[in-house]
Amino acid sequence: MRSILRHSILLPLLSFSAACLGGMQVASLDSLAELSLEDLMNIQVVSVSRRAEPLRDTAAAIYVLEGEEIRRSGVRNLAEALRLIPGMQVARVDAHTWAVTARGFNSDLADKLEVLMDGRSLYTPLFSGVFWYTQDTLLRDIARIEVIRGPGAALWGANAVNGVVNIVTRPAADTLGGLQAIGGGGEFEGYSDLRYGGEIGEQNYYRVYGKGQWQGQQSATSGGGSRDQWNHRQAGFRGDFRLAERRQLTVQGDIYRGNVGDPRIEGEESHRGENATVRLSQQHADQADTEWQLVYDRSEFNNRINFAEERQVVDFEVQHRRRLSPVQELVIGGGFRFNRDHITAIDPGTIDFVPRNRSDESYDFFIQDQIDFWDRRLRLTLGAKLEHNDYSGEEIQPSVRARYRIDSRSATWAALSRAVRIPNRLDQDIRVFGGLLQGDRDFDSEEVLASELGYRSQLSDSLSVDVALFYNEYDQLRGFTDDFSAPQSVPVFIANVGSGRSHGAEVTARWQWQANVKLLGSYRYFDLDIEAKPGSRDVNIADANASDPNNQLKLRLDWDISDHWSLFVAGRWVGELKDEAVDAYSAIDVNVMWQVNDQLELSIRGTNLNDGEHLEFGNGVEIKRSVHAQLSWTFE
Amino acid sequence: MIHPVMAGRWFRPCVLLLLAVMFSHQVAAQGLEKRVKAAYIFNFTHFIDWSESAFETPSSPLQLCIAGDREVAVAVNSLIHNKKKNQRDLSNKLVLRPEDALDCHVLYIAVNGDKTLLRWLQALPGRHMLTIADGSSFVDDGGVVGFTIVDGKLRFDISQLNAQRAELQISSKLLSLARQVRRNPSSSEL
Repeated sequence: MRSILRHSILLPLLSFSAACLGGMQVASLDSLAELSLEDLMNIQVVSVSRRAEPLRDTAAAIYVLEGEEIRRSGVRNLAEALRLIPGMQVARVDAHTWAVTARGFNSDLADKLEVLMDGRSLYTPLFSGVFWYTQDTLLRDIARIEVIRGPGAALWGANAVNGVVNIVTRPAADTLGGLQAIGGGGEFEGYSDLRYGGEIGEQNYYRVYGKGQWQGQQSATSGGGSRDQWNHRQAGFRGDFRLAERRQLTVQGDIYRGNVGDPRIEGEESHRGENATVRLSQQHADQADTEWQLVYDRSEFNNRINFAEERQVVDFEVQHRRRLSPVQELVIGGGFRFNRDHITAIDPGTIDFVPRNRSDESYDFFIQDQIDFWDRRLRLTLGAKLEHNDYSGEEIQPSVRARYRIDSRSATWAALSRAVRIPNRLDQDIRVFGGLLQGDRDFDSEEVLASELGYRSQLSDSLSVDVALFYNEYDQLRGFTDDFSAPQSVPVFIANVGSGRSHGAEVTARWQWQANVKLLGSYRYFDLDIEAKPGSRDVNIADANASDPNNQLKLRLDWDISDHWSLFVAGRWVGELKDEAVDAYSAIDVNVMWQVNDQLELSIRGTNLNDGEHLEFGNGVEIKRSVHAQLSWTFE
Repeated sequence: MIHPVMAGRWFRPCVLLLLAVMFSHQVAAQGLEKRVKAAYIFNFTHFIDWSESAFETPSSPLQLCIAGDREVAVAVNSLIHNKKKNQRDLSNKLVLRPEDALDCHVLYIAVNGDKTLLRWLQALPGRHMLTIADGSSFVDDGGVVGFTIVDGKLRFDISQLNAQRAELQISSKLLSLARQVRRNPSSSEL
């Protein structure tokens, strides 16, 4: 019996290594040296999927953070990477909690951002926001993070009211060989990353990775430690398979476990999850391509104070892109999403959900047509998304965008869009204090009508600027039917009682001062006014419209000092948050990298160097200065 | 407090592995496209002849330089190990500024943006230098070889005119494998 068991384990391993040995192995450097020019010309170096359109052609406030910039900055998690992006609002609430948004409404429950990683949605339908401490990947394997500030619902999805964050990891062909990193010091008790990528058979690639990160507590405002320590362990894989000349299959997945501390409880909160994605892309001969994607995502957490949640999501999407003529491109697609959760109330008297189990479905259809006029000087993009979901019924989210190329160096753009924030479990089903405050099944989507205007220009060979202005009108915002602190009638319900306006300006300038010195500066002005509609007694809503800084300034220096040394400095100044009682603060983060040799890299990163500790968000803790060291190396 | 214990237990094998790695001498570039580019750059040297005046002494090495891409530089470094061209050693270096590249025989310029590329070209003497960059427009702007991607595969264009200006002898084999060969200034306008 035992030998049968052993054989059944050994056999697949043997056949796997046999598969590795077969075929023309081109990935290893030793074999590349032996290949002729003719052989090299036959290696597929880029997958068949479509190429991104140039940044200057997009009629939206877009910024792309390259993977190389993430590496040079030395950041260790997704939220800190988003901080590098001009216009993004990122506030660290405590050791493991971040409030992240674009264009306002920031909170640790911020709910107006669509966040995707390789097409998989990272926000939870519990409150339409992201638990940033549960979402991770090997940061070195990120190819880029594309961020659109402003609505992107027509193409991107249900939650893209104020912005879209699209995290794209590298194809497995770009992560060949091994990589290991270890680090510690400052806020990090220790961390380690490990990844190995290789080739299976002929021109099919895979990678596997694992990481673990242990972070210590920050500092309580009342003094002492804040008991918000955090650990997260994650492993995952990605395989890219070439099924045919123009057909590509990608299979990827992750598994993670973690715990975070909370001063209110003895032990620690726990989170865990598993997900898998299968994506098939087919390029057709006639300048068209189709992509199918199936995602399964399971997550579980227990905060040990008021509730625990288990959730499963199945998401299927198909998208077809076709060039109808040299000046017209059409994208159509649709999707189906199934969502099932189970919530356990730990202290039902404080927080409960009714019902505790809920399953829901949504399906959508989207279309976008892009037409060029006048020798491609003017580009019009018309798009709309139609959706049906079990929370708010039918939704339509249209957008009109136009870009006009003034000359070869500059362009201006304008956009008008409507987007909605679909209701979630919290809006409709929560019960607080035994039912004193209740969610409402009649709670409907929050809406925005956004107008945007932009200009980008290459002012000289080394200097470029990007300006975006926006004016947003919000309606049906979430509030309460009554003044929660002194209600005239109970229960108080969650209701669409708010309306508001925001406006702002975002300016980004890039300067390539020398071949080896890059500078980037960005400034953002923002103002938001929310009020309760006539008839509502909600006073909280107007008290919470200044959780976003009016002014925010970011500066960045990226300098290759020599072929072995480089320096990355990111500084920011963030204005006060009146409603959160948080003062303005500035912070300087520095990363120094020393490339010891071709394999070995040593870096030292310091954060908040100018300041012992500071508060970044209301009800938060003081974020301390921290310095840590990292050693990383690559191997074949 | 379970964390320091767990971290400690984790770290001992890591440190051991680190020591093992530090004594190994393999090098690695991480991306396939970059590896293939490095292999092309190394391969080009087989099909191009530099005149003796391109070298300071008869024993001077053939210098392969990479601007702006460490991964390609690392891959080139491992490919040229123990290789020779006409009894000359091959050596390579990563350069950050045009003024560091004056002694290069091959220069791959991996920088973003046409404007930055043009500034590099303008700052270089160009003589005896095989200049390579990404994009087919590079050969029209004064470069010798431009990489281009066709159906997901890496190919290259050559400007024979710019090669002659740089006093490089390109073999007919290499010309025959190029996707396009620009022979005179007017052909680039076709």
